[in-house]
Amino acid sequence: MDKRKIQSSSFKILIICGIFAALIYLILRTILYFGGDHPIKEMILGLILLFCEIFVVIQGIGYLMELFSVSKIKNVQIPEEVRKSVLENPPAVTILIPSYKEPIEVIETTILACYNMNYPNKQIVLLDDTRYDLFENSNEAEEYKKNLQTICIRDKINLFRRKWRGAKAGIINDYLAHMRGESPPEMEFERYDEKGSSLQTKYIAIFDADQNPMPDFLDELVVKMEADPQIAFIQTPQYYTNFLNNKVAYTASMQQIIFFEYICEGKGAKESMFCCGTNVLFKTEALNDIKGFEEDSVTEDAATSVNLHEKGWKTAYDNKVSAFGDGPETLESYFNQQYRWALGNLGLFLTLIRKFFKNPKALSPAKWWEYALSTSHYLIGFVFIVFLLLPVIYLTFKIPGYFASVYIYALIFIPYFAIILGTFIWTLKKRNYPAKGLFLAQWLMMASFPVYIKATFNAFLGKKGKFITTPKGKNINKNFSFKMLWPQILFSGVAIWGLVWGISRIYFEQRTVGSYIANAFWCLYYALIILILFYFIDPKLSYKTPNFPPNDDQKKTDSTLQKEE
Amino acid sequence: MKKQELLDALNEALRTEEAAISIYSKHFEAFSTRLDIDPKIIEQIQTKIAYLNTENQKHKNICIELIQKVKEKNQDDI
Repeated sequence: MDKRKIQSSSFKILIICGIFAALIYLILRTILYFGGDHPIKEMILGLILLFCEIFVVIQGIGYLMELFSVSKIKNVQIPEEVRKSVLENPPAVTILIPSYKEPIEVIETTILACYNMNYPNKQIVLLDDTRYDLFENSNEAEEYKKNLQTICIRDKINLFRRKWRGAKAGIINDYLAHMRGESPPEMEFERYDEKGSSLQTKYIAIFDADQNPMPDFLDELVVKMEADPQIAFIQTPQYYTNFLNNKVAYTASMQQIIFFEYICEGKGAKESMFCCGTNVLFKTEALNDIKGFEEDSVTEDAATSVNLHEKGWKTAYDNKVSAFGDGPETLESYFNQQYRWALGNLGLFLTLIRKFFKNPKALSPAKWWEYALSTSHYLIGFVFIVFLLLPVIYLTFKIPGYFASVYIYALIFIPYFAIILGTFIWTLKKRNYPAKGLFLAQWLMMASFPVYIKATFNAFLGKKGKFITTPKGKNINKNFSFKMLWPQILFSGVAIWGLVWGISRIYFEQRTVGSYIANAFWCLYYALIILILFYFIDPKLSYKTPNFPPNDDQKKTDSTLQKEE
Repeated sequence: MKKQELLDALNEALRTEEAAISIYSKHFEAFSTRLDIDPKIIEQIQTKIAYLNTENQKHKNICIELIQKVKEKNQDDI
């Protein structure tokens, strides 16, 4: 990835312009709200809309600030003696693969990829977190257990099981305890890797059971960790590659891109990166320092990062895709994944608010800002509903929430919107990602608003939620039910209702046509966004692996090889 | 080297390295198709991947043949 691509002065100027445009928009909107004299119901609606707009503008400014941080990143030179030392005396690394009833073939592939890593001083441990007590058929449970054991024996991988508790965070913490010489209840540790002499290793790499690291994954990361002893972990990107034949996986992968390209790079530049749970290298000492992973959250990784930052540890991000994995393949599994992330992050958001009022100095202002931005992002579900309902209310009942003529609206909204959207598309195009995919990613996220709203309610009610892994392979439920989409169908109906009212008002009233057109446009826009979900109902995409003939150079190599044979 | 040691090494190579190539190439192929770059470059990448897969298959066949030959040898020291 060529970071210089976005380090030009013109790029920095564009970002600054974007931030100014967003701030000017916000100021003008606030003036417009407080400037007029309106009935109370309009003031209430207007205030709700204003809050939602403030939320969106702040998120937009946050994104631009991440871009600005990325534009200032300078390459850090690692001293040669550190490289030499790692080469001559590589510190021990334990590779942990937590797995909850993952299909055997998925685990096999991940183990194989880990096994093939170049790094010499490593031991691999499969953390089998499967709830055997929940299997309906005990023979099936035994068979699954035996299959895992067979793989571990064959591939010389250590196998760890214990009495189930705390899901992924729980099993990692129990293994950490085992590393320290403790024995969690009902622990079974089957050691098939005879090379690793000591269980206590300096570093721990974590991969979800569906993530395939490349052979060089650890090489540079260990060097970077050794160069700075204050780094608790280095996170690397997640990259879904099961999208060639699947629309949902394709769109989810584009959402990952938006997050892992610039947002994470910006966070990394400010040492505020949070752990994403997989494809990450931890320093064991740092994890022990905070007594392991946070177990009270379904997004244990982000919550753990807060604890590390509180303790003064640094965190880093390495924007090099060194592991590939699978994303959700059906709308149902996508919604489940989004719900878990939203619930965990919003729960963390509330925890952070409490923490902030208790001890504002627990984290630096930059880290508070970063966490607030990321964990509150999932409030977008409520924002979407407000944005959808306001035009409908205006067109149906003529109650405005945006106190300005359509011309003023166009004058202040369009420049702000154009700069923000333009920067977003342009920066990702700079890294060769197609605009179509980016739009699909944004639309699917917006159309998932009921999931985020449910997560928001549950987070505010203090519900913890269950850690459910994204189903893969044979575990995927391919039976689609329209029941799942009832909120989207309802709200698309509401938006279409608004659109019909708008068109009829334009036709019959022929006054304030501009504001009717603007509101009807938004009704149409939101209806279309929701209806895009129908595109994903059948997630199959037709893609055929191309079978290219070898080029001339390859033909030559081919014939040379045949002669040698 | 003992016959069994060689057979173990060859079998492990077959199971790990040869199988891994197809995993990596699957990921790279997907990676290349998503990039919004000159289609000619994508085609070049995919040609190389297809070539790598063909070569991998050949190498795999050679490895299988070799295992068979070693198995057929009567001597224990190789």
